[in-house]
Amino acid sequence: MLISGISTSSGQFALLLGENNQVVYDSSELEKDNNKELYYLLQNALTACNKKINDINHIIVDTGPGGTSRVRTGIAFANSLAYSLNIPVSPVSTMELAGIDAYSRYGFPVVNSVKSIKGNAYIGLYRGKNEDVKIKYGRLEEIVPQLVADIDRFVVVGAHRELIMKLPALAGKTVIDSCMQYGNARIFIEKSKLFTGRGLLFPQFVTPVTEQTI
Amino acid sequence: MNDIILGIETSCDDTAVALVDSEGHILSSVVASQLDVHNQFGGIYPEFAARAHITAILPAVNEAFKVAGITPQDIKAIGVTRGPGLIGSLLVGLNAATGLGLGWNKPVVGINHLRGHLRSADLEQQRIIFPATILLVSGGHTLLAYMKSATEIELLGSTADDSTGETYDKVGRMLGLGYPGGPVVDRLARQGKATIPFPRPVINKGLAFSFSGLKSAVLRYMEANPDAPHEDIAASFVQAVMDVLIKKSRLALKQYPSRSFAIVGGVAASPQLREEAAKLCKKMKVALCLPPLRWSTDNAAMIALATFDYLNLSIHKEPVADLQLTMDRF
Repeated sequence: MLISGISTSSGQFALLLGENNQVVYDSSELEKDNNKELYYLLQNALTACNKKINDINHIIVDTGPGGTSRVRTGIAFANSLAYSLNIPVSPVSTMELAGIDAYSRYGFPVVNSVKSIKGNAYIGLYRGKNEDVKIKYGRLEEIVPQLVADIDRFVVVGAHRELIMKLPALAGKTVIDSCMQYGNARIFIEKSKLFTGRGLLFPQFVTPVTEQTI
Repeated sequence: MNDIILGIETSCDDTAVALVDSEGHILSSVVASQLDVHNQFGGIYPEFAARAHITAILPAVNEAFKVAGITPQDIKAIGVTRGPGLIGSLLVGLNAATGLGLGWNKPVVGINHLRGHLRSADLEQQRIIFPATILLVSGGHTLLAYMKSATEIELLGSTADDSTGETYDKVGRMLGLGYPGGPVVDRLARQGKATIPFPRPVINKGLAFSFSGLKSAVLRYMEANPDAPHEDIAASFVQAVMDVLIKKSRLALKQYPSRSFAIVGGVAASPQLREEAAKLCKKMKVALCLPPLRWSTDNAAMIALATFDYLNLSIHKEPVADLQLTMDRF
């Protein structure tokens, strides 16, 4: 099964192709100008792998939160590609992506944060072992202590790592800096079995994570 | 069956999809309005516009094919608005179009929204007699253009600041009339007298427009005269707008001999503008072209029709957003 993974929420686009949990193409490593349009990246990927568009069986897409226009760019493309090929598209939030990635490296629960407007942030907690990610929106200093109230040790990922580590309300807890700003989209392919079961076929489609949807 | 274009238009607050043939016949036209989303803000809220496009675009595409009774394999290409417009909204349409194009193996062409508006007058039937002068008046644009043919277009003048529709909306808000302001301001104006001497910005300066001064003048007048009848304010404002639009149009028709004069864009719905334009055309002895109102506002049928022009000229613009597009560019 050929899977295409698309992540656009972070600093740069990542368009991947993979089979059997192995990444066979990653635009973030192979493209000279990875901020090109997604159709351009996908065409290049298919050519490089000697594949055709109809070879793609499943799409996995990053639903944010993150750069709002960038997230929608990926979702609009993924939804319409899935619709036109009549294949499923699976949504994965950046919180889950970063959580799975950091958990696989550290083995502790993961707190991820993404900047928003007016001093607010999206904060996600991934406890590990394929549990659902809990996502909250609001003030970092209020939400993080609530989320980790029953956790003694956790890893931080994202935009506010230093800020979280210095929160007085977390005194006594062990907070590990992952030095990661984002999760790596290779997870979409390498852990694809976690995501393909939630594939959506039109009339269902993927929508972005926003403060209105969590 | 293969001379059909799928048009996609998401430059602002309406998600529009249409299937059109090369004669301008509309096989289907689906418009998902976001009026309810933006009403509470008194204007378009760009972030919410983009969010609404994401949820509306695929159902609109699906509906368009269902209504037309054709399959994606029956189309020749996809035309999608590439600008000008709101960046977040444009990106949804552009990326949806390219995803569809890849999956269906159909070319995708980026289309200038303004050229789409100019072509809207010829939807369903040929109305424009070339050469023609076109007045585009909408929520996002105000300009005069000269068309020697469907593809030879010269920009004569545009607004330096607010568009006519935007000015209507803002004055409508000042008068407490809600959003969109155009129809309600026009209706209220019918009940009043145009007795207030609002300015006619740059009325004697060639074919350029400017409306921000008029908008500010209305605000200042209302602050200084809180008890002034709103009907008279609306009537005076509308008269000022009409004076500017008609005088500039007359000048364009004099400088650029035309066989027809067309008004396109949402403000073309204004009864006052239609009446004034009829008088002007009678005097200037040119045919007046007024497309049905459903084609005056943003729609995807006009984008699809414009796509045929691009294909006929072998112009293949990449489906990439360009916010600075002007009328004279493809």
